[in-house]
Amino acid sequence: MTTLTVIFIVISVILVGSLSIYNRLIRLRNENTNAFAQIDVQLKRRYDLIPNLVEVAKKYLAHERETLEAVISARNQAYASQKIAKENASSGPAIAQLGIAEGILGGAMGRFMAIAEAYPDLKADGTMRSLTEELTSTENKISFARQGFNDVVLNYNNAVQQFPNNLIAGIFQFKAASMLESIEAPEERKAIKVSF
Amino acid sequence: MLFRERQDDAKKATRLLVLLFFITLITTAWSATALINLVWQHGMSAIAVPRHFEAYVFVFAITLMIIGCLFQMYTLRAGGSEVARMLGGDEIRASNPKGHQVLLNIVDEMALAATMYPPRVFVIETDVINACAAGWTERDSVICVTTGAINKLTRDELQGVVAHELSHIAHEDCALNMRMSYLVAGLQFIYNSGWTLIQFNWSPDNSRHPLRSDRKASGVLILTLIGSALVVSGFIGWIGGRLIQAAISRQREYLADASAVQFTRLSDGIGGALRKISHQLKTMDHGMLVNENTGNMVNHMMLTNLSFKSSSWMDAHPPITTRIERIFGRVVGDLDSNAYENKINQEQEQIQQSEEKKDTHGI
Repeated sequence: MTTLTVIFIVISVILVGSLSIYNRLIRLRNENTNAFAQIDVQLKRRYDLIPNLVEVAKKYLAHERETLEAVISARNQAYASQKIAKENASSGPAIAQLGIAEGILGGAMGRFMAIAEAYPDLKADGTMRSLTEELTSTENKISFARQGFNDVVLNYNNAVQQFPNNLIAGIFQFKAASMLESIEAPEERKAIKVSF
Repeated sequence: MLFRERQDDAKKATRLLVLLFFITLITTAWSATALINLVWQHGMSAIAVPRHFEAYVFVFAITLMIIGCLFQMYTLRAGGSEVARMLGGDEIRASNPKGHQVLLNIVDEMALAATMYPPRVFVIETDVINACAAGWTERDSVICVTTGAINKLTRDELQGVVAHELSHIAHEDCALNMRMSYLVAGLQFIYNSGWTLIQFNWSPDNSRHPLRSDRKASGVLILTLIGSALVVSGFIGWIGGRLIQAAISRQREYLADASAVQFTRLSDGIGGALRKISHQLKTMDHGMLVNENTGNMVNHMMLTNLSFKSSSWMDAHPPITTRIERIFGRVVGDLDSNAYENKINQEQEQIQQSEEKKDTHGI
């Protein structure tokens, strides 16, 4: 075989290899976008569910008006923040504000659920039970969507940073993505007080 | 549990085993050829050999394998939902949950964690805690869960079971196992063809009886020789193929367990479920979830072996105690499989009693 043939073969192998690496990086990056969009879907679900829950609970929790009102107002605040953040996805303050609003909502929901546990009549109510399951499931879905996103990002980062992929990634500007960190506002850390 | 490491281990082991499988395939065909060649040269050198005889035999063996494969492909062509129906599953959907909304929610949650399309869900009526997954592609997949699992497992444990099954779908374990079974069927076909050839040759009704003088002795010998070689190499290949298929299936089970921990981020989910299954296997005396129609197609996809017989090389699942040990990193005992169900039933009764009391007071 002439030197030319050998060079030709080597170059072909490199090209084909690079192509498959590039395509894989594109696929993984698109997975990131898809996984992130899932989180948004679940957040909206939660905002829609909460008013229903409060309506049912009102019947039984006549004495817990402050808790219920706290939940509704926190929910409205978070909903508004989310709409703003969606329109200004790159705005730092908007995202930060959403984080804080989500934290306050999380705290209010936590107190609400703890109080609901103490009222056996409310617990036994059929509608309440299915709504509680829906809310639990929605909260789970939000965290699993975030977790799924982080796992997908890990996969992508591994692909982008390991050798020899990092060479292709460098040429075509694939950068490592950042994972979602937990949004912990002081409100979520507050101890839950149940008053009878 | 270091689930990513365990997942990598299982994937590496699978690759090795698949390579071994293809080596088995080639070796079987080659050994049939070699056997025939050996005996030919030593016993029947007087008989004329066509040129490239070995190549013909090799191609013949491969052709038999392909025929066996195709036949098995036809037999196992059922898609995911057909398998579920064959098991007697009842489909539940968001529009008609039939009292299993929690299960639907859990499947959706795990699909999010696994970043995959949620499969269709079927419920099978039985006290036995078990689940299975089936389907060729992600979009066509189904999972079946028994009412035993729904009633006896806590929400976290049921979540672990669903995560385990979704992992099978996500890693295309069902498709891999189907392909393995095609190849095993191909090897079995070589073995069966060998016997057919021998029996056809020597059957007493055969007008071409060897004692009849007008039949060439050489023809009979040739066919018997070929048949025997196919039987011997086919048998070894077939058994070898089955052993490797079972070994691959066991590795995929370990992979699914590790992925269940990854999706739920909780060892107690799938771990708790396995502990309860272990308890149930020891306390239940009749056979579990045996359905003769689907047998082989589904057995590999069930959560565990269908009985607590001592484990063998042919098992599609690793021993439960080993699986539990890998999840928790140490030996852990069983969990009472009926405790949770009893607790829930008691709570329901109390709620009902308090409601009845309220009614009588209201009068």
